[in-house]
Amino acid sequence: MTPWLAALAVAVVAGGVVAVSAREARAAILGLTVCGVTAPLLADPLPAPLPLAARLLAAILAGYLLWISVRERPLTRGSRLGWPVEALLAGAAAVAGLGAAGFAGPAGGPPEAEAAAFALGALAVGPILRAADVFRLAIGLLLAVLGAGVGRVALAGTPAPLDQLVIAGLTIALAAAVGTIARNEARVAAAAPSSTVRLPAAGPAVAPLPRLSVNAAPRVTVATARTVQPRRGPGFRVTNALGGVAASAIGRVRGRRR
Amino acid sequence: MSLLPFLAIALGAGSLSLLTRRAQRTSAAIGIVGLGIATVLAASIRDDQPFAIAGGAIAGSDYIRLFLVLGCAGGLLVALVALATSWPRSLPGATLLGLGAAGFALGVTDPGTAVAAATGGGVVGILITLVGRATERGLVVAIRELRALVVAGVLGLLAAAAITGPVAASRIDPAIAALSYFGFAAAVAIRFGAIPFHVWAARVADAAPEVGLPLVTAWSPAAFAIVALAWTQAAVPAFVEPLVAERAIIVAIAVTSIVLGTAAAFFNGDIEHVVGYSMVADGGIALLGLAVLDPAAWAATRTWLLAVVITKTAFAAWAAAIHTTYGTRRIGDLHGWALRSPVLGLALLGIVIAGVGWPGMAVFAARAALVDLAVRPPFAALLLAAALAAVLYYGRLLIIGVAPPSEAVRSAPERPMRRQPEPIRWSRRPAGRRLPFAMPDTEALWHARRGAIAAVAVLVLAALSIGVAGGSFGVRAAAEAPPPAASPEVGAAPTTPDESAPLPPETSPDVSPEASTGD
Repeated sequence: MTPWLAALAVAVVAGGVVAVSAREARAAILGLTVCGVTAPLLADPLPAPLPLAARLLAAILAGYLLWISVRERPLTRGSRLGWPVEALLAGAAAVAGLGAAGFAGPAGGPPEAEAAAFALGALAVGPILRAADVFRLAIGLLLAVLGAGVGRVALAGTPAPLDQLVIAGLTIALAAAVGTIARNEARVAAAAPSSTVRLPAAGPAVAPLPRLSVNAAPRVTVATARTVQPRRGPGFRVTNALGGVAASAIGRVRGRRR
Repeated sequence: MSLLPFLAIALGAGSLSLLTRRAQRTSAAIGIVGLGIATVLAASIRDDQPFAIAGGAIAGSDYIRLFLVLGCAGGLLVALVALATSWPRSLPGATLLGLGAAGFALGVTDPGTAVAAATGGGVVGILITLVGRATERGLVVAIRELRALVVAGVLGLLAAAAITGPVAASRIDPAIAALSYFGFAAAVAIRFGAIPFHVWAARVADAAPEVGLPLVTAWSPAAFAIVALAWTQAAVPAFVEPLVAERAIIVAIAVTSIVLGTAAAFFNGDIEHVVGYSMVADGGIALLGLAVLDPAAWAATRTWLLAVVITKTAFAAWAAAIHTTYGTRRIGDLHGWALRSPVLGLALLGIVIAGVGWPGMAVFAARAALVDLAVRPPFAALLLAAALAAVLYYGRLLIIGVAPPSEAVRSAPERPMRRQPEPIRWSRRPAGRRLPFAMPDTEALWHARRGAIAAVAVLVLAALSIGVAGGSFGVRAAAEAPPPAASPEVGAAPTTPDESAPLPPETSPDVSPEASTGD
């Protein structure tokens, strides 16, 4: 094992855990961006500078496209299991991946990449199979694509520059498509009867909830948050504060202050 | 090299059209002009040597030329039908991007890159399902489709990474190789909406506009299937293992899709659903090509896919024209439609001929070959009969069309061609811009004739379908051509030392090593 590759793998998995478990959408985007920026570096030898730059820019742009889509909906359901469980799950999958390095024949890439691929795959399964909202599904799908990219590195070695460029394009296209869907979803949710909406981190339900058929619970938007005054516990405040710090770290807070 | 101009125009104009979506006229103009230019550039694609680019290689071929020319020409005609019926503002941009991605996927020699490109093209196509101010149903469809697309793409990416070529296939664990093969085939099944992965496809047919169906359910999945077929033919036969169980499962999925898809199309009362389920059934036949690890399946599957995509494009355009003309999609309300719209009746007749085929036609031979290769007698005859049962749902539509007209058909507006638009009145023109002669109001003329224009566009699409299904335009030769091999000369795709080693004896001699996986 190479120490810096191991550190990169830890960063990739940590970003994935934050992306999956954060309830503040901007914190989740931050985690996803960290994951997307570090994943292309997880190769031996490193990709050429130009394709690597394309991957990094694609990861940042994907994060920004998602950021735009959550301006009016700063909260997401996050993981119902909580981040410790997600972290343990990812860790277990990473260990399994590390142990299974070379399972498909002579390994073309570093074992750390295989560990990260397993971990990202395990993290992505939950949001893809049972997405609480479109944003969470987006996180799951982007993690799956990043995991597949890292898995390719593990199985077949560092990809050619053309492959890196195409993966970068796929990441941007996916983020753009998901962002468009998420914005439309927010509009649809804003038009839904507000009395039936609850906030995800607000504890017990405010009223009986007829679920929208968008395979999701009722949405949380600025409009609906105004009409419903939930009991906000300390957990919500902590998450909110962390989300604000994360947002400031990125540097552009365009959402309205809540 | 000849593919690059097409890619530049298709991807550039498509992106520009999507980025200007809010300015509907500008976006439509960019998209339609781009489609026109892309058609011309696609026609200039030649069968050439792989061109090295960014560490990979890309090559044109006759098959790519046919696929893209038909896609662009079909896209133009569908855009015309959409202008006359319902216009999804993402249609031309998404079509261009989807076809650009398909062209790249078919031309590139690395299977992993090809899978990523085909998945990206499919992702863009999702925008078509979000029409105007998206509804809840449209969102459900988009979400489900997106999920299916990405899952299929990830499966394909990992499979292509596990087996990068015939030599790599021969040195890895057979269980992993079998898993890769099955994963890639399952990805194709998901993309086609084959049963049991059909839920998202059925919803797409319900919520997406009819004119968006060809891109979402036919062109993008077909490109993905061709990539998968190339990979399967190049990499998997290198195994000593017969992969009996895996192939049996794929055949079972294909047979289920053919039988149940055809039955659903026959019994369903909504013409959009009929289009959607017919695509599921036809996708099942394409899946048979992946289940057969025989070089004979190569040409048959590619011929079948080419014929199916253009025929289903015509069928979807026909459904859009019928829906707009009579204001209903319910087959029960469409009695007598062919009597009121004879051009559309003629078009459906053409679609039947292209979709079902006739002995001697390329599409008929391709379907029979795939069934014979995949299933043993006497089940082969039964499966062929089930596949030919497509004539039942087409026939049902035709029979209803010549029945006594229903209330919906009788009360449909007067046939457009009978309404002559009035010339522009002078008073409608601003002062100082009077014309010395009476000109017809172009907008009124368009509104009066748009039904007829859409019907003629559908008829042209049906004629194209018959041509392709019959084997015209060099379909047979193009489908039989082997995939382009990466040239070992300077500037070609790099090969690893392992891949340049001699092939194992199990490798089929007519399948090129490694780089033969793109098209």
